[in-house]
Amino acid sequence: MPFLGGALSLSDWQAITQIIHALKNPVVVSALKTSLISATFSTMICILFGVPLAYTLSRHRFKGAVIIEAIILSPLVVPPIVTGLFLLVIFGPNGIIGGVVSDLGFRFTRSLVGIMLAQIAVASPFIVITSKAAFDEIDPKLEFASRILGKGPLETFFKITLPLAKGGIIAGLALTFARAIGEFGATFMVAYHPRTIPIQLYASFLGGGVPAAVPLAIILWIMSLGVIIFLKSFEIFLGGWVARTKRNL
Amino acid sequence: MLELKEIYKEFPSFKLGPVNLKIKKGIIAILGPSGSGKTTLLNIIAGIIKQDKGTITLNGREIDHLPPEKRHIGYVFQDFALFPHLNVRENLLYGGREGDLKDLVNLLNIGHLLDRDIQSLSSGERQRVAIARTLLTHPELLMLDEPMGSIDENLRKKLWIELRNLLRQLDIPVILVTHSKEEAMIMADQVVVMGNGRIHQYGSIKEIYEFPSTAFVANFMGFENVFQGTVTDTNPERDVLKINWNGTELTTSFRNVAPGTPITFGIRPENIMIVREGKPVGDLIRDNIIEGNILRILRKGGIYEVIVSTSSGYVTVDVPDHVFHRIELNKKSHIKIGFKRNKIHFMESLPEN
Repeated sequence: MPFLGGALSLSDWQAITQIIHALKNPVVVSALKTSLISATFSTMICILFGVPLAYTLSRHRFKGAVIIEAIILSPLVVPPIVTGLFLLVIFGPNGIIGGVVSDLGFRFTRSLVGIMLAQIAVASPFIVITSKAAFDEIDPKLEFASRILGKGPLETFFKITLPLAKGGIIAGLALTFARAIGEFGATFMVAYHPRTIPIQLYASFLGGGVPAAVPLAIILWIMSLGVIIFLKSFEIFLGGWVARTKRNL
Repeated sequence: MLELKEIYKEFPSFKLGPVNLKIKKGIIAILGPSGSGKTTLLNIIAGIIKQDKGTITLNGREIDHLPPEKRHIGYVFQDFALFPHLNVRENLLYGGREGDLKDLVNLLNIGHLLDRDIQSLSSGERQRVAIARTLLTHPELLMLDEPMGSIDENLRKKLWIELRNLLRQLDIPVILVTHSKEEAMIMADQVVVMGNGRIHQYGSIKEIYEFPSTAFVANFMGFENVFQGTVTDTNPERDVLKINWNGTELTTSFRNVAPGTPITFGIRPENIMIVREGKPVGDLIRDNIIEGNILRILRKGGIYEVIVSTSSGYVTVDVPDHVFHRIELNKKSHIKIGFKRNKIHFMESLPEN
């Protein structure tokens, strides 16, 4: 970015002023709010379901596990617009589930729920992959030891498994949030309104070209950078812990 | 008391069972080579693996349908499975009460370790912490899987004595899994020998050494001269049972075995004598004299181990130093060997798993 290197030139100042100006624009503020709220809730839902699913996939071998994993991970390789289309088929006004709820006066599309559906579909693989990897790393013997010492499966999960997997889960959380907040393709298909930042960026670009879109792009870029800095600092902390543990065990 | 009845478990590449075992008190070693099913058996007793068939009773309570946390069994894993994110005190109190901590900490001499991280402990210290953590849950049975597996070899001998003294103070049966005969001998009151997923013999270490009940136990305990043969003739009146060992006829005391029955038998190397030429052969060994060529002579402590190649197979003979030199065995190549009838030890043949 131009304003990050060397002395600030006039055009850099213009860029900063534009961002400040954009942040005062009610349309941008609303998009920012929509993005933060939807991405936060989507991430929470991803954790709520993704972590137990990752644990199940890590610890149990059952028929269909591979298929479940493939379905969960498919949004990683399928273009988001395709995922969005599938979501419309299921949750659209005439969709399999969407049709039923629209009869009850509720709709998934063009709503915050629609945005979250798109974000969850596209971002959930991250929490599942990272948590599963973290669970795979834990020696099941530690869980058996806990059980033999008198603790039930749930207490064992919360006292032994979860604390030991927390590094992977937090990394997954950050990646999920980053992917959710930047989601465009699937959201574009399912919920163009209310607008998230990526959608607003696209709308601004259509209306005012590059100069109108850049401030929003920078806002998104800074937010993503924040996630990466969080992950990196966490990695350093976690890396030290892992190294200490491995050296001494 | 722990009782296992007809325990079976089948894996794609391994079969355990039938296992029948009664353990009353004291230290019992489950001894066997790796892959014999020792740890699988512990895991079944602990409830980590569910058996396909059979029942487990602990002090009159059927426990085989209970989850591990309700079985009241203590299990110290081979690598101790201490929780790496908790310190020593937190590990100890994970399943135990603060009130019981002091006595046990003193007993195991780990008071100075309480606030340490698990990562900073030596393997010996980890072992003591793991045992203390288990004992704090007041188990009705204590199981230790290869307790010396993670301990440096030169520390083991010292820890064997320490651990045995500690385990002797406990009022509960202790099962110790090991692949080391030495460890079983030092630590245990009774030994269970396992191989290929089955129990081959249960008895004192002396019984197992001297009278291995199967060829597997004999081989594992280093019993030389284990052979297969067929009964050819029996006569109770003359107290005779004749065996065809690859073409050589051997004679032993009568047993009620039908002619034609295949049998496994052994002769301890120290019970075989060298027949000296020109000297009268004693009546007792007259029946079992075999000729052969000396294949190899090994010096072992105070004896010479002489391997003789006979027409029926190799026979190991232990010859004491003074005898070896008196008869100048090193100058001979062809010799006769013999043994008394009652030195032929019969072994059970277990069906293959």
